[in-house]
Amino acid sequence: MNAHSYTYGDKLPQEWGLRERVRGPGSHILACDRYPVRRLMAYDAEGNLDEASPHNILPLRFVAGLEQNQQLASCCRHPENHDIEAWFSSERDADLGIPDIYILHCTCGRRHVRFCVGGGVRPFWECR
Amino acid sequence: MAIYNKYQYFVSALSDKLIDVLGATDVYKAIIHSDATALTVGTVNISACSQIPSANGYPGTNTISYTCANATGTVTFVPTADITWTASGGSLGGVTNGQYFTVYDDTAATDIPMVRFDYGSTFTVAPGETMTLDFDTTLFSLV
Repeated sequence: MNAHSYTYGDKLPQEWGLRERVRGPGSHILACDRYPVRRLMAYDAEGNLDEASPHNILPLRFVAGLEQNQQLASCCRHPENHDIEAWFSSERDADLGIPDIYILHCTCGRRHVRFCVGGGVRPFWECR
Repeated sequence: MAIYNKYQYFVSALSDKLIDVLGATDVYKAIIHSDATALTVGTVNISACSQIPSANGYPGTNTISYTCANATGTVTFVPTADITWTASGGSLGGVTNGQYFTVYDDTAATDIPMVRFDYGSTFTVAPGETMTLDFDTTLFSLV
């Protein structure tokens, strides 16, 4: 698995552009395959996150927002047990190579969606 | 980033001093709606958007906390927190056809829509699930 974060405007590696496009609902195009959050963040065996680790591929707010949401079921508040996948909302976003939809899948089957409309870091990973 | 669709009225409203971006006094809000409201209408009110009903964790409007700065002739609008909707008691808004997000100025008398984002498909937020409008850094700049 290769993973990295990049800032809006950065070029993606050439191989991303060569990938066959997998289409989802509406105009969605798959950016990054579903992958365990635990392997994209620096969690220890007990599920504690090293927030300062340079190995955190996802922005901390991706997991903190779920951990702190008192309205969610207990399992949903443990993103270290979730999977995550990334999508492009449109063909144009796919051409730019910048994902803007991140979906965290809880073990209970519920989904937690982030729709990114500003700038900032957009994590990207590849499963081989 | 998600495609930034500017309402044309936003620009004329700025010029007409109906929106005060830099003053930090205007209140900006976000809504979810189901239709692609026309961007080109000369004068448009947020009520032109088919907003999803206020139900099941969707309060109707959501205030955006923000900062605004002016540096070397560029004004930047920076939301300081994301907006998260958590569905409870049913799907968010009781609907399955949310698709668009619009940010608007709630201070102006006519509630002026500023920018619209298309999720790219209709979505349903089931009970116990969340939808987050992630602003992260600058939402827009005025140059």
